[in-house]
Amino acid sequence: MNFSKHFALMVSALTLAGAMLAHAGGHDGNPAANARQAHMKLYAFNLDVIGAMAKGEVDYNAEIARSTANNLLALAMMHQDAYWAPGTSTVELGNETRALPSIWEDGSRFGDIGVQLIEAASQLAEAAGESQDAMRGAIRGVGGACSACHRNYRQR
Amino acid sequence: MKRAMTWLSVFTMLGIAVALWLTRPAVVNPTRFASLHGNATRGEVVFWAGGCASCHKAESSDDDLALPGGRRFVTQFGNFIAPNISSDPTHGIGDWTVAEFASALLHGTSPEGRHYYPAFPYTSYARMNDQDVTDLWAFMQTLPALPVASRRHDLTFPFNVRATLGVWKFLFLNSDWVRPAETPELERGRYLVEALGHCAECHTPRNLLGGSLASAWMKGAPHPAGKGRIPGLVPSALDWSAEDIAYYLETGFTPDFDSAGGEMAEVVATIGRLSPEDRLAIAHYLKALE
Repeated sequence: MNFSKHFALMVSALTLAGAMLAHAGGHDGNPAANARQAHMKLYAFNLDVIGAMAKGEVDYNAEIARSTANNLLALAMMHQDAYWAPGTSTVELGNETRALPSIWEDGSRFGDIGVQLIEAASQLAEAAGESQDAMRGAIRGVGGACSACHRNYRQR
Repeated sequence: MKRAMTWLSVFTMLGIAVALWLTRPAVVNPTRFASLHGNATRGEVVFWAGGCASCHKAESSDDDLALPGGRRFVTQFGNFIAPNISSDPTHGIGDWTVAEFASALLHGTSPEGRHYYPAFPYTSYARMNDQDVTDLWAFMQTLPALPVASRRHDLTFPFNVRATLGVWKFLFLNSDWVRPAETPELERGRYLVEALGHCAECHTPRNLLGGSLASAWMKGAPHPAGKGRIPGLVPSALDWSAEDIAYYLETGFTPDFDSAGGEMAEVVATIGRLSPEDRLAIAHYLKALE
């Protein structure tokens, strides 16, 4: 076994260890809460793209606007039951989540607001490619759905 | 000695009587509003800017035009329960006169001549102009009548004694503008922030008696319900651009594309219905503070 072979082996062993550590790191905390927060980050990223065009910080581009709005709609339509699992509220997870237990209580409007978001995102997906004004008008509906949930079901 | 005690109690009683008389609930002169004509269309703008629905709609209702009251506000003084301000003549404000409505908004005085608690932000509405009061009255009369009885506030002693509010108003009710405004746009922004929008009611900390701390005006405050903090809006506390502020008030999205939660979600729901120019006026006024 010559030196270069040795070196290559060592590098791959270290890489593997690093990958395993990163893997373990990714599983820190509650997986459901992590998945929810990742989902929220994807909303935020796409809303940033759309918002920058709405505010005029970057030029409006119908194609980018349409595809970004479609991303938001796709995210809103994802089946999320598994990561909104009961037993993963602030009561059980403490600071790991801001999801209030009222999400899972009787009379919760959580599911209705989810439907409201899908409807608002559908309207945005239709409007986004039309014009900057039409897009901006439809963003408020999406924001309203986001806030309706954060108003009632997210810890301050 | 007995005689001295008698005189002392007489003077004390007299003193209290004079204080009560001096701090009795103020009302507007009805002739001031007799010649004004209310315009319901303009009144709707006042309604959204004033955020009436945020407190007076039913708990967890999405209907910003149905105002039966009933929402509970937890504070260190006890719980305030928003009353019915729908157009119902018995339970709401349907049988009021425009002058009675003006006395409520501008002086915090009920048609029965009693002090309102400042949970109703007349400390801000006191800066409203008469035409806006009249227009708002015209609009609110078009809203549905809801026969729902208002509930009593649930306050601790001595805050449950309404007569003490006269002294409170003497100390803390002031209809002067807080900050100067040099241009018409800043004037409009100031009117929306300091009068109709009553932003400072939550974004300014209060003293032990519940009066706003002028030295910390709009610098942020602890949440009255105990948990969380209400952010400051002066530029040293909020570094968003004017466009970011206007966009937030329109959509609820922060520059980081988080979205408004808590009570601010309600504010966005109503302020978001104003014109883009009005929201930008608010933003420019906030940026001009300090």
